[in-house]
Amino acid sequence: MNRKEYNSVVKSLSHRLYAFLLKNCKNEALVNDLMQDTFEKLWVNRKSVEVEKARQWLFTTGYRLMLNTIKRNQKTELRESISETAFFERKPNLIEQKDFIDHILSLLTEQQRAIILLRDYEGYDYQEIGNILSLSESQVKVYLFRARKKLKEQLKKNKHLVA
Amino acid sequence: MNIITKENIDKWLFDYFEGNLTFHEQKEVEQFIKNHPEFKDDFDAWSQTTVEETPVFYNGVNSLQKASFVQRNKSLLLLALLLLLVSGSGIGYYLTNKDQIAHKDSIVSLNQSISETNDNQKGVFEDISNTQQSPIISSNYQEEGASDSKKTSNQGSIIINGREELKNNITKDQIISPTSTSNYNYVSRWQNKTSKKVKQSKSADTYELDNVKGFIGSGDYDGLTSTSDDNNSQERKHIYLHRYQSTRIDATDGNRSDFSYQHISRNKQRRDRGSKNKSTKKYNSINDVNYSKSSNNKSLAKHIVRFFEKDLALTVYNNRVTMDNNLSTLQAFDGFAGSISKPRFQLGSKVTPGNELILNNYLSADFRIKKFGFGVLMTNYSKNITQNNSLFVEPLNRNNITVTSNYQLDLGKFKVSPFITTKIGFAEMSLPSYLDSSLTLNKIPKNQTGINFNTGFSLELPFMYLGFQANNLYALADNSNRQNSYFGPVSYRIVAGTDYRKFITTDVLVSPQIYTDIINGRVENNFALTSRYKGFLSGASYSTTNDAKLMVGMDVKRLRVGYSVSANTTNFDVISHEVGIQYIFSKRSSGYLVY
Repeated sequence: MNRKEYNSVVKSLSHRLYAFLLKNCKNEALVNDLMQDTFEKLWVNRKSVEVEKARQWLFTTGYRLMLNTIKRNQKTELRESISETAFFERKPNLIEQKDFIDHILSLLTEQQRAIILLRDYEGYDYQEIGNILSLSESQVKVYLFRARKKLKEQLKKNKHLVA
Repeated sequence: MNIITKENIDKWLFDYFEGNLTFHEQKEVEQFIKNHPEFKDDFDAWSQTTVEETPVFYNGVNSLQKASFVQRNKSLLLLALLLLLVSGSGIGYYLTNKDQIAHKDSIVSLNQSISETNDNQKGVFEDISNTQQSPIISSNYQEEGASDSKKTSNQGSIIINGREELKNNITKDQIISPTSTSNYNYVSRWQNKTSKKVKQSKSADTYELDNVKGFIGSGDYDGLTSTSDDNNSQERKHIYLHRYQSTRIDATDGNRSDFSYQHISRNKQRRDRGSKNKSTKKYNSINDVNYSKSSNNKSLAKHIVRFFEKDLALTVYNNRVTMDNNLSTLQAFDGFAGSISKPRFQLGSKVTPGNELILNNYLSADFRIKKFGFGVLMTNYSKNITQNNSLFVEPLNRNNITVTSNYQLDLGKFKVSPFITTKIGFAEMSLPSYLDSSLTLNKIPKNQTGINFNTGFSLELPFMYLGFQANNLYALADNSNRQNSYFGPVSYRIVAGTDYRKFITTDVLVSPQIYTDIINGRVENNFALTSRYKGFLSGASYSTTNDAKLMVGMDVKRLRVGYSVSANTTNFDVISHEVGIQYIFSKRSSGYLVY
């Protein structure tokens, strides 16, 4: 990957990676740092990364950097965690489905959330998700099933509140 | 998952919405929901478990993109170009003046045809008066017993103005260290009617001028005047024989140099009877010049050691690098003497205008691999004498390459860094070799090499730092003769100091610094105060060697540009200007010293 290709990758993929990381951890400052670090790594390794594989490389690296950061700084509140009760108390009126899904996502584990986002936002298949998250295909499927089931149960339970 | 049951309906619905089922299986699921309406809610809920993408825009795209080298270093390249232009102008100025020096040297020749003048003997010394640029400027003149007309005969020439005035005419600018001056006694006596040798005198004198620690000068004079009268006119013939000899002993290196020359000039004057005007008919001038320099190889090598020692280029202590003094601007802003915790590249130029136009260019790179720090420094020093009044000239051009490395050892409250440095210097020492028959100063460039080894350690304590280094210097006085070499004694250097950094407001950082530098017992105390406001830097420093500096600088991303002006506070007649550029490769400090 040369400089021009790198710049083209930045232009086309930075928004997607940003959205993915931001959905995973709501801390904007942290996501900005992760973006800098991820693309800096891509720049350093540009000679060994093919343009076609840059997308997967970016998501893999970005996700791993995020996990490392989380591990390093357990005290950091990566995501606004509001309990279910508090969420519905705060929003007594009908809730937009988008907000509701956002809330449910926050209740998932980091891995489940990452799988759902990669699947629904990026359209990756199980194998690609497995490559990014270092999981087997069947593990991805199981985790995805559990995540969606959790969503489904919440949707079913609170369907009267969702607009 | 063969048959759809109430227990496994969730898995079927998951696959249904994931698109994992065949057409036939999809129909089976739909049929099951139709047959079991209690699962209709589950079906609807599963259909909503796909997260819809909401558009998110990242604002920092531009900051992630990489500019080309030219785009990225536009400001650096522009500044480098500017520096090149300044250096080029300096070199051009030097070359221009070099030509002028050569031209002036040629004027030294006393063997030029002496023009015939009416009135008085001014012409005889006219050329000598132009020898302000020559090594024999410091001549002294005494005249005894001469007639009134003779007493005024040499007016206009600096050499006849008497000793006191002569001394006053020699300014510090004209004395090049180590320097020498010569003593020139000139005695003449005029007699009428008979032709005979009239006087022979000897005198000796010693001057003590600045760096000349030892000087012995002596002058011999033989004056012979012939005068004859005829009926109609009075004709005087004068024959001057000037002999001059001086010996200079340099107290620093014990080097002895002898210089001698003799000058014979014939002068015939004719005054017609009844006429008040006398006319000079003819001048002849013969010069016999001999210059000898008795110096042994060791003493010359010692001399080289001395000037290399003055320039202990790269020293690492306290995990920091101090380079030549010429890096003052950038060093000051980096704490005591610069940190190599951040890999960086820097270049700059220092110009000291004046009689000795000094150019000092430097280029360095520092980098760090884990706990090992490395530094490379290249310097070029050139002294360009615009008025060469001394027989003894410092090296005109020298280049140094210095390589250093250190290791940072963290012992909790103490940080110890042993280091080792090697410096190789190549100098072109332009010592005057001899005066030729036309009294032109011939400078024979001699190439010398000096190798400086130094090692030591630095110690960083919570509130101060301490450094010790030992140096040994090997000098090769003449590259063509390896026997002409000298190992200098081991010298030492101790540095102790502290610096303090405090934000007096959220944006303004102030850092007072104080340190003592002891080199072979010579103590220098240094005080500095630097401040930073956002990207703007300023500072001032003073050393007990009477060296004062003012500095300004600016940070533009990873680029730092600095300017400093320094002066010796004893007389402020030597002012230096330095422009430096520093580029930090990485924002992150790879060492544990963070500034």
